[in-house]
Amino acid sequence: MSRLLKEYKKIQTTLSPNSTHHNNNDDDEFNQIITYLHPISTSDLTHWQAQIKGPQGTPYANHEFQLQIECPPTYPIEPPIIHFQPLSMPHCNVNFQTGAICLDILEKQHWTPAWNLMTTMKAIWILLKDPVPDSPLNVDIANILRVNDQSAYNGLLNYYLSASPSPSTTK
Amino acid sequence: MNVTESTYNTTIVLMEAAPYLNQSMHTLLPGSSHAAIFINTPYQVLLSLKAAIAMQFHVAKSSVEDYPSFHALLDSVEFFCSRQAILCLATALIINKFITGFIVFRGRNPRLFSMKAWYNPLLHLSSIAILSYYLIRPLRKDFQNPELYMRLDVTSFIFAWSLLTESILSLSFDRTPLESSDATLFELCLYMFILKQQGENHVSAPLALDCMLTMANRLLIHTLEFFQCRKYRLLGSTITSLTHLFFTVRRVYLYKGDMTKLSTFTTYFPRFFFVCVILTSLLCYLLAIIVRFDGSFEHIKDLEAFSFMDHLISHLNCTGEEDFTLVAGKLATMLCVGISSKDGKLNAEFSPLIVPDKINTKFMNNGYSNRIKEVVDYDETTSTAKKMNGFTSKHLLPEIFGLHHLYNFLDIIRNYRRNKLSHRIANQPDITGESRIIIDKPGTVEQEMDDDQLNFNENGEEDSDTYDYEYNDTNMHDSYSDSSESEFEFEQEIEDVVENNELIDMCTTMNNDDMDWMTHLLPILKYHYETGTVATRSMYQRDHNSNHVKHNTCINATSTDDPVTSDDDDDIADLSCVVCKINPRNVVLWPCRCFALCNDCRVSLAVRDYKKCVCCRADVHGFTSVKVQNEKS
Repeated sequence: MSRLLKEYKKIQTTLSPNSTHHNNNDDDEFNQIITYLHPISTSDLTHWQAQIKGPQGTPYANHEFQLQIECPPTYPIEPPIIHFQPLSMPHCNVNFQTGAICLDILEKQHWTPAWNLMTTMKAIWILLKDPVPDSPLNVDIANILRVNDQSAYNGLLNYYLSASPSPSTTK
Repeated sequence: MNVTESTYNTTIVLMEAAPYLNQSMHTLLPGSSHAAIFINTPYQVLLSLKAAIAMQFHVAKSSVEDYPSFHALLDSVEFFCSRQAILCLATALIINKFITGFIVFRGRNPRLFSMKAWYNPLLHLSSIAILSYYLIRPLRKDFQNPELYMRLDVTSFIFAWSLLTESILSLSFDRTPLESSDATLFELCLYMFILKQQGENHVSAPLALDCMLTMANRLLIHTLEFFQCRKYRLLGSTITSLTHLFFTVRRVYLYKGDMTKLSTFTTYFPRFFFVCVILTSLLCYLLAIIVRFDGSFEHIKDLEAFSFMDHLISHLNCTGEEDFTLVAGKLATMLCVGISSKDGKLNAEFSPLIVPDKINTKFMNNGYSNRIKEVVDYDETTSTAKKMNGFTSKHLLPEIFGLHHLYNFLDIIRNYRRNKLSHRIANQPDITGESRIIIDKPGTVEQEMDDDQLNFNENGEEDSDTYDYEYNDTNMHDSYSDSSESEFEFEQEIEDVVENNELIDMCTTMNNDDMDWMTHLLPILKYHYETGTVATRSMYQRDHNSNHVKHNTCINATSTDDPVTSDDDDDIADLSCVVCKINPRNVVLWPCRCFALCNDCRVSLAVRDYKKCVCCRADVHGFTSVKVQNEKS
């Protein structure tokens, strides 16, 4: 648990908007990726929520996506369980209904305790940037990607993203 | 007067009734001076008290003969009051408090107490002498019943003396004291006590053998330390232990049918079992080899146990830190669990690595790149550690994506050199930390400010002004701080060949502020010119008096990286394990050399069957504990 506490502190200093700590490229980068990342209640550090920004140059740009993070009691020996908000994320490696993410580092075999929540967020962000259609959870989008139909892909994603109650649209 | 006389009479009567109260013949000081009376009287009173208590105790003990459990309780009380137990306590106190404290104190002031080299053989020889006398005496007289000739009290004193000398010597020469796992001092004293209680009644004859084994192992340790050949420890302790086991088995054979006597041998079962497991496994292995043998040894490699047997030596700790019982136990466990040499490696401990002062920052896990190249010596460790302080504070965390800054920086350098941009003097250090000196003549001098800045700090000349400091400050805070620091790791070369004329040209065309800067650079440029080759930082350092350079570097580095370190207090403390973030890191994994774990986390990872390094995902073959003195703590 104290590991989560330390991560929380670190995240707070890294992500605080007016901090003087931005002397570091990494901090800047994390700020460009993550809107917020905090535990749902400060009394319980096992449940977190986060919001990440869609990477530029993809249909996800200018959208923001919410994630639910649950840290098992064995964290960091075991990976955190991370979901997108259900019905909000059209992505070939994300189950649209449940928000489950297919990412190797979130599985027990490939997770290493050296990762932390921020780097995991970054990994998910990179997944948004570079979808992997070979191991799809959303077969429709994966098929479109595989045949490399860019316009269909962009159109479909835009349709989903504009229709879904994304937090960015309500802003 | 009458009162005194009557008191005296009563005393005489009491003394006659209870002779143990009369201790007047025991004196500490002879004679009847005032001083002697002053000292002897309390002593005699104490003796009387002790004798009275002892007598009461024995009366109480004999009265409860019918209640065995109560009797046993009184027995243990008696043990804790016995001479042996007090000896145990005293020895433990001396070793734990006084010796360790003294060694720590000596470590801080190494010049005050220098251990003379001749202490070592002298003290060991004294232990060897008394131990061998002790061991040979009973052997010579009666081989069958050595316990008859044991001088019980003396044994524990000899053992304690041996322990003390050994720990003093080992600790003062910065080595781990060897310990035999057969019996601790406490156990030995308990044996002695039991033997003494039983007297002529030889129910627990194996205890005497045990004592002899323990003493033999102590003798072995002293002999090895005397000749300084620890690596033969395992061999020696194997011989003594096997001999001991042989005699034990023989006794079991002699006592067959007598269950009460046999029951005392249960303590030897584990050791016996280990030997059986090992022998059986070896036999099976040999048998498999014989079955498979068809003229060549090629097929043997297909055997499942081949790799294990092949790596047997590396699995076992043969450095002399452990003795037969421990190693046999480990080996037997490994054989039973059936670990082949390819997996479960987070459990395989290699010989320890002792890093004397503060750990070299090269040990730090820095993303994927920073691994141990070698164990550096003391001197280098301190200076590099200090020099890299600023670097460390940012790269301690496993920044998985952090490396691309480095590549960016290297790209910038490469592009820059390729383009050879402008040809005029423009040496104002710009904000990006990439300031350049470019000289009129094409392609002559190009310097990366970052490279030189390092040399500034190492520059042995007097740096009276604050230029360096200011410069470093801006550099630490700018966006390139990562890259400027990362070059520590890379020992980059300064690829400049400077003509003498150009040097002078440079100097003359500078204005005052620039001159200031030039004076720092001048020795380096001169050095380039003198050597006439591409001069690297290490060459420069070697050729100039390196101590001075290091000293200056340390001063500069510590003063300049203060703003950075004060920024991230978290990161300084981040010699903490990457997994738990609490304990200090003290485990190096092999062969990837990542220094990122603490032992607790290693254990919990090994239990969960992790086979790869947490940082770099390389297969782990084993680990090594590192002793780090954390200067911050």
